[in-house]
Amino acid sequence: MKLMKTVVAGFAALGLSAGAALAEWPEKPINVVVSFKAGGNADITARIAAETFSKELGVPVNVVNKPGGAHIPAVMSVKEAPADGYTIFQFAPPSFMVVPLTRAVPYSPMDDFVPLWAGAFATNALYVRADSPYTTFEEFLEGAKANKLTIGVNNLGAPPNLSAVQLASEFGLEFKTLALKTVPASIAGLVGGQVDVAVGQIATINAFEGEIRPLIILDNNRVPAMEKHLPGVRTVGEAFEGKQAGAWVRGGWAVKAGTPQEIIDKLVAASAAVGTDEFIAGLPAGIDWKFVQGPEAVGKELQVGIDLYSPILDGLGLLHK
Amino acid sequence: MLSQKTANLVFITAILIASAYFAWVAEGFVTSGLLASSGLPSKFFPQLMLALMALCAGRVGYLYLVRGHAGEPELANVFASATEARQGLSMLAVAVLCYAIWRNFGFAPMAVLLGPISLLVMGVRNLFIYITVLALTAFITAVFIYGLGIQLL
Amino acid sequence: MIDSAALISALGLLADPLTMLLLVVGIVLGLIIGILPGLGPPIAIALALPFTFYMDPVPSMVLLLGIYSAAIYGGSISAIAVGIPGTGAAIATVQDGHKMFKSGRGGEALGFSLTGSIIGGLFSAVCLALIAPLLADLAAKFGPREYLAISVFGLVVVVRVAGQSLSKGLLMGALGLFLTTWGLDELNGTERYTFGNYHFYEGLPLVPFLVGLFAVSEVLIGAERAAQRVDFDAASLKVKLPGLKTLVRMKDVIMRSSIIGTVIGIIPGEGAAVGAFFAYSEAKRRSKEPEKYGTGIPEGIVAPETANNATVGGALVPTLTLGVPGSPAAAVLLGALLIQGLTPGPKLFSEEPDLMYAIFIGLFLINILMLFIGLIAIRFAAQLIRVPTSVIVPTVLLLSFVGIYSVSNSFFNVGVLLGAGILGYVVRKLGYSIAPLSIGFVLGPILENALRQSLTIADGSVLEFFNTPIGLTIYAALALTILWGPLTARFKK
Repeated sequence: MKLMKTVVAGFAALGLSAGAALAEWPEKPINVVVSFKAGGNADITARIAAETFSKELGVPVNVVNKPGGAHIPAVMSVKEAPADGYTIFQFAPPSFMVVPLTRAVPYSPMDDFVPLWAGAFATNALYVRADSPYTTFEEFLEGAKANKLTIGVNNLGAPPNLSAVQLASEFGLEFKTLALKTVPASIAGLVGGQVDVAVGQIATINAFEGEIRPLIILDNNRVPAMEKHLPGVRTVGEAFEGKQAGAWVRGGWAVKAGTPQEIIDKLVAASAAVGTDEFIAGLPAGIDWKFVQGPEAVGKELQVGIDLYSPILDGLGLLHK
Repeated sequence: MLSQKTANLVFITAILIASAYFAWVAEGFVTSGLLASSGLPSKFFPQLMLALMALCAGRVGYLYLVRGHAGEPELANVFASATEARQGLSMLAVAVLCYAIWRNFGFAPMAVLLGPISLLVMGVRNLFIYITVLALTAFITAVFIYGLGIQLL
Repeated sequence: MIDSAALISALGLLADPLTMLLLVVGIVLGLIIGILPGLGPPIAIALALPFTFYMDPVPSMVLLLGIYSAAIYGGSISAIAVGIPGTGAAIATVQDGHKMFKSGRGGEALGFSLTGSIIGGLFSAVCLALIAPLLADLAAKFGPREYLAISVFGLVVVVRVAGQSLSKGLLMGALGLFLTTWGLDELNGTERYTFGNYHFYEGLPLVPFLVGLFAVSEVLIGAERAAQRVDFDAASLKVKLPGLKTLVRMKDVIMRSSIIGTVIGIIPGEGAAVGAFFAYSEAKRRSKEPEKYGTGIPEGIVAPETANNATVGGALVPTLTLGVPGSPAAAVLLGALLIQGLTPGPKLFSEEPDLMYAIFIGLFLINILMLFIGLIAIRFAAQLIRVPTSVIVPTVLLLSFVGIYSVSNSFFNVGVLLGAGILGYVVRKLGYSIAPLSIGFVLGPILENALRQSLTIADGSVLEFFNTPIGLTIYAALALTILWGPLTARFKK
């Protein structure tokens, strides 16, 4: 019957917006712009969160996918929409972090947007096939120094690629890099023998257990999720003290700067529903969640990402100045 | 109305000029930093395709100049009559105009005007057809707004 | 091999009345969305996705698979009856389908497309059920070098659908390939032909471009002759399914197209449009009268329609067994599985055998039911020939506008639709075929990325470049299909 309710609510909301002016926000459906294709992890979290927000706010919350173009068209479509709380952007590492740091973009994540909450969280790990000759990270390092290995990442410039680049520069390795579009595709390419080694996320192991072997977690700071997915696997910092590794993979929602404070308050209040244990339990196994609420707290998280990636990208000559 | 030979030769000329222009633009592509990995540069594939286009265009142009046609047993003219040319080209103008109306004045005026103007330029005088088209317009709009939940208005 | 306990439990899961109802609802919804220009299978599945949050895995998969199959089939109805492909999958059907419809054999043409679609769908469902784990290995082995081989095969298809003038066809194919290079370079982020406008960063979007190319140009050509009545005799209004004899006569075309569709479906990233074009070109090549293709013959409908529905079962193979979607629509389906708390991948078969069987049987049932629901739909579609062109012209234009806009609420996409429409109109008026242009546009990104990444793998070594058994098999097959004609001709002498 929830289905019926959603439909009825949709009709009611449309009727209202077309009819008399109602001062209370929200009075019509809300759109959430996702800068990824339908079906991936980013899209799924958006749709699950949208459903939860819809229940909290009493209007339909629709997901609109605008993939491609280095995420810039998606961000700009929100920046160019009115600041009325009816268009929300789901930010991700490329749109709010890597792309603005590496190229001239017509927006500033910190100045043009107000972040509301952050949920999705991930960190990267290095995988080889289960039958690979490299059983430890040390053996892999030796092998990678002797031969130029082929490494699989999802997209060039995405966090897994940056992790790989950082690994190469810290340990003096050289790879042939293949971009296989998505994380599951790069792991499938690993299983199929397309690449010798691949960068996936720590939760990627769940779908490919027995087929792939984790070598190391490409991060320095230990978090509980690592023990959950890859128990006993070391981080780069633990294995080699002084070597740098890190990734910033966070996702959440933001609205355009200039949105009335009452609307921001309502959205932030409603976001409590995506931080409950019940909500987290309903998420797919491949998605880790670290809920942070409110513009200030999420802003700090974003700053952490900028502080992490700026020196890395600068060292690689990729930082846009 | 307008012979195929003339029209095709004009088109071929346009293709040749455009190929040269886009190939020149490709020379100015800038790839930043380390992402410029080994392998082919960004300009290679577009320029290769432009070269292929120019080659084919050259051959088509040659065929038209020498034989007067390019192999297909096609009609001698682009448009069968002045009426057809007028209707086709004014419909094109209507499509562009309606896009402009939609962008500048919103969906509703575009949807209301699209049907009647198209019928006018096609020389339709039957009132029943106008009513049918407007009814279909309302139906389509309703399907998208209420059926699929798209915010058009 | 067959786990009978799981099979029985799967049947039990499917026998639920709500599940059966959802199956029908899915087919009807998919059919409608497939018929509308611009809205294809991925958006159809995405629209229904929120409703599956409250369902169990089996009913939700049945609903979404019904939508997927019917949306791919639905595209052919508008392709035949109006000359505009409702989805990318139907672009290969337009040529012969619409010609046949206009020549007064509409009911027959629609019958051929329905029959072909059902057979292709059933074939791929059986393949999925019986040999999915084996096929999964094939999908996992597909890397840049293998994609390159498939793309080269695709280029030969461009030549085959080029029409009678090879130069004109190749010019269009090259134009299609060139236009895909617009936007940010996927491999290094370089701006290519963005004209300082960020909208061009994503390049020319596929669906708006294809719909514009076909639908808008068809509208403009229709407007030229709006006043003329289309002649038809009453017999053409009656929907006719091809008889057994006809099907037996076409068995080779049907068999080949089913296999081509299934295989192309399995290869991640290659969708229904490519499968349909490959099957069309292969049918044309093997035909004794290839010159008849494009003039409105049943084989020109059956081949692409069988193949595009066969991609559905094929696309599910990597989706279920590797967690890598075989098509954009399968990507959304994968999302639905993840939302259900399932993890598609190598372990799904052993962990959820009853769900797997339910999906296989469900897909089979969907194709059977689609025959009946499709029959009702095409009865109406056959009547469309009575509708005056002057009504169709503005209605289709509005539908294309709204359909394209609604996919991502983007005016830029509507602009691309219009631009592609004008391009399509101009080249069609000048005696060019838009089929090679569209196939070039579909293949472009795969070809370029495969070529460049293959060179990265090879790292300067020719041996490494061709160190691909699958790729070499494809190249050999390609050489054979090109040389077959000349060789047999020689041999006969």
